Amino acid sequence: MLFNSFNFLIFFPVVTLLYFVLPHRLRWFMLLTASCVFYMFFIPEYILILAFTILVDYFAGILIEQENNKKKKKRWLILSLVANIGVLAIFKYYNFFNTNFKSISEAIGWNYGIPALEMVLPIGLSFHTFQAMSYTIEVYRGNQKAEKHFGIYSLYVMYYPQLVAGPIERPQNLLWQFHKKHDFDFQRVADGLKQMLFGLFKKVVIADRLATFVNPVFDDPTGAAPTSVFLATIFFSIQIFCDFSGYSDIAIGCSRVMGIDLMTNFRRPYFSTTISEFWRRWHISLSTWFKDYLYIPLGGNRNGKLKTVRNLAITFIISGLWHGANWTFIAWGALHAFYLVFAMFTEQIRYKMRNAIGLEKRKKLNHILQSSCVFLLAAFAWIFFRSETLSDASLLVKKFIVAVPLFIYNFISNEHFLWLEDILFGRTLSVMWFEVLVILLSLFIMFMIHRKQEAESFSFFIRSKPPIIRWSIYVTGVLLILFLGIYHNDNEFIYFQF
Amino acid sequence: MRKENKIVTTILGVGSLILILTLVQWRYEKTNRTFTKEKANWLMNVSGQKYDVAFLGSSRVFNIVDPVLCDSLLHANTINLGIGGAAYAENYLVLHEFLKKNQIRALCLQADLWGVIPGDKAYSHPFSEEKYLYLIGDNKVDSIYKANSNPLKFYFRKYIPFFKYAEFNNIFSPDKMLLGINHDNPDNFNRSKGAALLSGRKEGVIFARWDSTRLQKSEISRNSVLSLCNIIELAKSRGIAVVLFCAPAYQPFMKELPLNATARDTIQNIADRYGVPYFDFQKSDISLDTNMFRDYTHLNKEGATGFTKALCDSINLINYGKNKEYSDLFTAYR
Repeated sequence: MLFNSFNFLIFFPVVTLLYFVLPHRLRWFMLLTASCVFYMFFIPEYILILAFTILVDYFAGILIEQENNKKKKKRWLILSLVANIGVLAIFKYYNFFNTNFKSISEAIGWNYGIPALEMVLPIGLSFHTFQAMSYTIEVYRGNQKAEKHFGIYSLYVMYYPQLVAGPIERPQNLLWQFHKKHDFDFQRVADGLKQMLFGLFKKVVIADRLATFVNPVFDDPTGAAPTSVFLATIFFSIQIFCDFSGYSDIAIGCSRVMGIDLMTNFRRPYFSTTISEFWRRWHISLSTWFKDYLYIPLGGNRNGKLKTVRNLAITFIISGLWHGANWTFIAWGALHAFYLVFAMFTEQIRYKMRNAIGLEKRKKLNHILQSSCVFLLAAFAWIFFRSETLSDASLLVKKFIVAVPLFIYNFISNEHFLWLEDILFGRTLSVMWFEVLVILLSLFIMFMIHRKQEAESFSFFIRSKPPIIRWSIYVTGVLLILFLGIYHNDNEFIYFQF
Repeated sequence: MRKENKIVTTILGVGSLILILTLVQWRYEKTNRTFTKEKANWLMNVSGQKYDVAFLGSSRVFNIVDPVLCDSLLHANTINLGIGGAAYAENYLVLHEFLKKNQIRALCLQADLWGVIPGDKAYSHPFSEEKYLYLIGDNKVDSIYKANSNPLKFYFRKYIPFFKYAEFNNIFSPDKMLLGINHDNPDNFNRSKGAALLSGRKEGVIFARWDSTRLQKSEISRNSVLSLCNIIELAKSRGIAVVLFCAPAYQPFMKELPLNATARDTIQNIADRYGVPYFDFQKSDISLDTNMFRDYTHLNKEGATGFTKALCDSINLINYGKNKEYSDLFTAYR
């Protein structure tokens, strides 16, 4: 079920109402049933995959806790990890590796005949397997007690707000909340609804609208002009942020309504001044997962620069692979690893350069320039993320690079008004002026909210205003979503495919 | 803030939102009715007219039957009620609404394979939900919406202000609807009497290279057949003579569809059951000439003219009693 679907419009109030009406002892069961229904709206049979991993991890957790022998503990942990990674390997990576083996074997003249599997990737598979793995790892590390209540553990994996696209929760943050009784709290419900509203605005008004301009360019890289590629890449950077952070906002908001707090997944990442800061603000639940369970166990940055480079490369390439079984995602991950390594080795030089030209003294300008630089680097990397194949990506990269000198050339020549007109009147991406206006207005609203959030919670900010202003903001928000949201394309959330 | 105050503020806030949405919906409905560039809207705006013959169906009527030519050949006043992508449920709604303000003496109803298979297989949707939103509230229209779209959604559309227009805001954009900017020219349909004949060949259509997979996987739909019968019954209940007809489609294409024969038998059975004539032009000469087609299933302007003449000849046979079997029937209806 999609958060931006009609079904969810019915599902959410019904589930929430039942949640508050039912006694606490029955809530887990209702939430678990609701989560099953939510998941089964996609491909019902795939719930069996979830059931399998839940069973394995539930018993693995108990056995790890009961076992005193460290080696045996480890054995149970490995069994759990193998089960989870095995599911991922079969359903997500089998065909990718199979195709690549086939290509290699063809190149060396070996007759490789293992067929591909014809199946659809279970929705949100990488999210819930990672959440399940974090449970057994934390139990193994002794940070979390094994959950004895099978229903509550199942709910930990299947909790519908974050089941298919996160945030990827840790057991320490989530499990205890299912045991706690949450009464109806007007303020908390209002805050949750506000966050859902903002998430929906980002998804249906901004992300889905931008998708209509971005998709034609990325679907036909050969036919796209350099300026279109440049704009589409910038638009995609905003689209993917609004799409995914919009989803997270709705997930966190609707969970908050029921009194269950989920972790923050995005903290205005495009305001970052370095790539490493970007990764501390983008998809936080995943980046901290990789940091805690992969990067630090590998040694992190503690064993010299060379090993840090190795650890960064491994972490980011696996992170790329986590997103999708395609070389484009691996390239995207590798590129980010390169950015970080480059930043690490050039930190001193860049500081000196900034100092020499006086930027270090002009904090605001320095911040703007650095943020813009991070945004452009991230946008450039998104080309790989969004492209279907590596050859498409390389074509788009060429056009993206050409676009900048082309802008400058057009500006210097007398045609500068023409290209400006082309953008403003939407001719570059076949956009109507109304669409341009809507995009600019929506981005302005989002920017203002984000700016406000830098200083304080937007919820607190609204709460401090008189009712007339508060409700004017809510009503305007609802009207904008109703008037300007895109509902006719059945737009899925981009991160569902992972 | 005290609890009571919060409740009052919430009620007032939600109330004002509902009020705004109701007012906006009222404005939208008012504007929507005037957008006569849409064939459905143009038809709903025709009133107080008396027609001798009306042609009803999908684009295989809308783009194919020329009422202006029919007028001269039949010496009658005719109208094209065809709407692109309209399945029988939609045809029924159109006829039902049209008859509220107008009179028809004879109805020529398109009956073909596309009509009797499920609407979503033939036209990619069973019913153009967005076209008749302003008619929601009428019992008959409501029942059609309920039967042919998500019934739960129907209640949202009916009772939650503006919900229906928000859902289709790609069609009903606020700039167009709130400002009421209507660049439509109703004279086009007034001149052509509801038809839109199309010239030449559709871009990208290469005869002998088509994809009929979707149709081959289909089957006769009970609901579609029932809707066809409902149209005939509605017409008969108003004393309107009914004639079923099937416009030509490119024959080699149709031969690939084994279901076509079943569809013809089904339609013939319906025609027999209701005692109405059924003119099948699928094997006419036109259906073999690629120059007459815009694509495999739609005649172009030239083909449409030829077909309209042939259809009028058949209707004339009934009119002038040259075909005994049908002439009595037609007279009885008249």
